[in-house]
Amino acid sequence: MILKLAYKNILGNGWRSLINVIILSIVLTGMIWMQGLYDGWGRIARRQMIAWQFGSGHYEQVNYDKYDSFTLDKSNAALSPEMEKQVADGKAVPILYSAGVIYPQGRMTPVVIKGIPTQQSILAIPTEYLKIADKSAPVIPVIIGKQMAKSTRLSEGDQFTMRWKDIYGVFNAYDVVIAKVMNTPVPTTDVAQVWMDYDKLNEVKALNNSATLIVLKDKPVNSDLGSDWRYLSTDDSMAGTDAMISAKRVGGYVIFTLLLFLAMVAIFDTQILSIFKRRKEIGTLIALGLTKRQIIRLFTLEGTLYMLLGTVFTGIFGMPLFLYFGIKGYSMPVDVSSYNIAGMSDSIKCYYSPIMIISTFLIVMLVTVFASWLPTARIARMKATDALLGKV
Amino acid sequence: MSKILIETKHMTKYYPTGEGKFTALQDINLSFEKGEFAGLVGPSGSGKTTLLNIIGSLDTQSEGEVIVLGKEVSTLSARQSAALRSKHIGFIFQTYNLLPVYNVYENVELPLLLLKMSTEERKKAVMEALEWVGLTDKLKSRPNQLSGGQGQRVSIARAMVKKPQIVLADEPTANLDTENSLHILDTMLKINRETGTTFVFSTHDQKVVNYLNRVITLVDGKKAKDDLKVSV
Amino acid sequence: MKKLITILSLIASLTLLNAAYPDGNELLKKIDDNMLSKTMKAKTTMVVQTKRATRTMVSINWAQGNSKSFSEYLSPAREKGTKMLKDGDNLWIYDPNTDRIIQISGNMLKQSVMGSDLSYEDFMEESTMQESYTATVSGAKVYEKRDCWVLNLSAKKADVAYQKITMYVDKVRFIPLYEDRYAKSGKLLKTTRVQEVMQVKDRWYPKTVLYKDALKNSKGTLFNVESIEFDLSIPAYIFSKASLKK
Ligand SMILES: Nc1ncnc2c1ncn2[C@@H]1O[C@H](COP(=O)(O)OP(=O)(O)OP(=O)(O)O)[C@@H](O)[C@H]1O
Ligand SMILES: [Mg+2]
Repeated sequence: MILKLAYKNILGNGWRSLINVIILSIVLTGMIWMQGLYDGWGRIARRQMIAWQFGSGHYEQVNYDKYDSFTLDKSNAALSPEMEKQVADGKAVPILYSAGVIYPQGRMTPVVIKGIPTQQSILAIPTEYLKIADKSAPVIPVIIGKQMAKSTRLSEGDQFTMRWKDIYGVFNAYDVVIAKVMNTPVPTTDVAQVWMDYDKLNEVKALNNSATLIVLKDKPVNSDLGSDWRYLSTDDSMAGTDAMISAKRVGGYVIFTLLLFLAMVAIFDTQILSIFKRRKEIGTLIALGLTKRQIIRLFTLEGTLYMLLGTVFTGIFGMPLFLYFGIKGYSMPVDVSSYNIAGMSDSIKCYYSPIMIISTFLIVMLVTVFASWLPTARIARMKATDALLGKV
Repeated sequence: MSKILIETKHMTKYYPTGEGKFTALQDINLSFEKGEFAGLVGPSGSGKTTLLNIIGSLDTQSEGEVIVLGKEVSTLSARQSAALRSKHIGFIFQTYNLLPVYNVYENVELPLLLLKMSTEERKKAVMEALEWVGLTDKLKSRPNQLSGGQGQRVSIARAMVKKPQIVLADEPTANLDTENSLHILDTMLKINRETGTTFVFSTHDQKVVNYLNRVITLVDGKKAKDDLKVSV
Repeated sequence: MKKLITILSLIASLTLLNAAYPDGNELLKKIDDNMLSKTMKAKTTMVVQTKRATRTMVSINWAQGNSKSFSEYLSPAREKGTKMLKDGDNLWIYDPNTDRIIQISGNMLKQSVMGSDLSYEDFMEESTMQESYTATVSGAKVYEKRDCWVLNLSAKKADVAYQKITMYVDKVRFIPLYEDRYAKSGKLLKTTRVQEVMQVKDRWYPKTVLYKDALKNSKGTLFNVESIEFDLSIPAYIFSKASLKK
């Protein structure tokens, strides 16, 4: 009965109700779309990082600290015979890191040199280009990414000198040639990275079959590989990227928090006005035998109904939008893409998880109920006799 | 002796004012029996509305006792007093106070929704009430589509639909012309006769006074006269 | 390739003319003796030439053997009052702008000193030439009008940063006037050219030296010794952390 009365009342409110419903459905649509976008981004980034960088899990040499480039030259350990067998079977790929400096056109640029076996199929890096046909040739083929090529103004076929220190601290340098500029979507395999043959890097580092990372094709059954290695699952590897995406997400939240606030103000305002205009009605309802509690519930329900109608609107008008971005995807604007986060280069297909949708609805619902309920404090304070006389 | 439904004993009502308090009703001793068709008269500001509100437990007295249907109203909880009103007391207001978003039928049905009646029972009761007031042809009309007299008849139907023991009517004819006033007075008297419902009016209107079988005069918050008339 | 042939031919000529040349290691000892001193105090300027600007830094330096040194920058205004203390493996810098002493360690050692072609690490090198290298003389050459021996150095140990060095050493003054440092692969990495020498009492010493990163497109860093004193007595407190804040 109260529901019906509430429903009739907000229909009776006309354009004011319509505005509230529209604002709410904009908030809902926007929040779901935006979260879908970031969730979709996270999924793409994850897929790409699995494909290009981390496989289904990887080991890191214990000294390696990705935030400290000076750990690079200390972070390597020889592969165990079992691991060598896994590599031979195509189940793992070792990658050796080295700090280095390149001098394209005499400009000094610090890089991370990464040695990867030419015959591997776990990562999408086109390592076949790294094959050294003539062992005595003085020029080593390397691969760099598109962004790296752009920032260093290098292209395929270009030669330049690359310098590094071997594990004893002895300077070594070779001329290298860009065999391939690869189109990797993962910035951490691109920016300031130079890829070369694993065995050759081992040789020039005065190492033998040693790696910094071992990337796995499948999740390991037992991830313990001794004290030299630290296992990182896909989730561990994604933590940084996820955090960066979350940080971007916060920016989006600000906008929708403001919109939600606007919706809250609109509903709050509608409620205040409605209570004021209908004080005589409130008095009448008390005279008819409703308790104040029931009347408060009635008014709160009216506000909450905006949310329900907003949901219907969102379903009707938001659905095509959701489907469009869910199927066709969305290309991030360029200014955002300057951040070094995987997934940016593709058009991002929004992903709407039920949990995300439900939690969004719950949040908006909660805010709406609160905004509807807050002004009803006036009803609680109202005296029936005054209300009947139109006094407040 | 008939059953006493309402009784006040040494009832006084103060309103707090800026400096002290204003006495709106003073030492009122009254009782109303079942089936009475009584009215409060008196000049403006004499306390008529205040008294009706206290009887209807919309307000409470400051001193003395007010017993309605055997219960001291000032001791009732919010829920109990709401229950008392929803079951046993019907209100009729000068300005009808219909809910604008409901049509005639829904307005009359509203009090029954509080009483947990089945749909059929409700429908029967609503139609019966609307028959009393002669508005069965206006079921779907909105209050703003009704004339003043029709509006007040709907509000009488709303007050009567739950078959209350007491109906409190505060200047029900003040906004109506003579013809409509007489019409609704006839209606109410008919209901009073047929159902034995106790009516207590507050009025300035001589037409109303003519219909009453008991006239209580208030002056400055005090009971000045209490005349029992021989029924017409 | 060309370089490799040069080196090979040098080695070839060395074996042929072995008898006529002095012992390379003896020569290294003489260089060390000439370049090293018990103590030293010098006023130097360092000119860093970049594409955009040329910066000149003036400093006063004290040193005791190879292990202790103390420098104070006099100009430019931005660096004035900056002090640097090296004691063994430790390096501290005092920044007058923040009035704080920072210990330079780990990663920071690889940074360039005031934008020059030298890193802090280069200042930390303590081993003498004799300790790090064995040398052979492969020929004679006139460089900048001076008669020089061509000296080929190869590292004694696997952890010497430059495994090969070629230098032209003044036959009389025992100053390496020309120095090329190579990567393990044979690629030239760093060059040092002495542009002017000076006599301080009975020893000859490089006055103006140009350091260059051979792989980089740069004009290099020019070192100039304005004045220098050897084997003076330097009070011990100079090489203490307290003198940084003075
Ligand atoms: N909430 C209140 N606060 C203060 N005084 C009040 C309040 N309500 C009523 N009064 C005063 O109490 C007195 C009685 O008022 P009441 O409304 O009962 O008179 P009434 O007899 O119904 O008058 P009318 O015929 O004009 O309707 C009046 O003087 C009024 O000013
Ligand atoms: Mg009144």
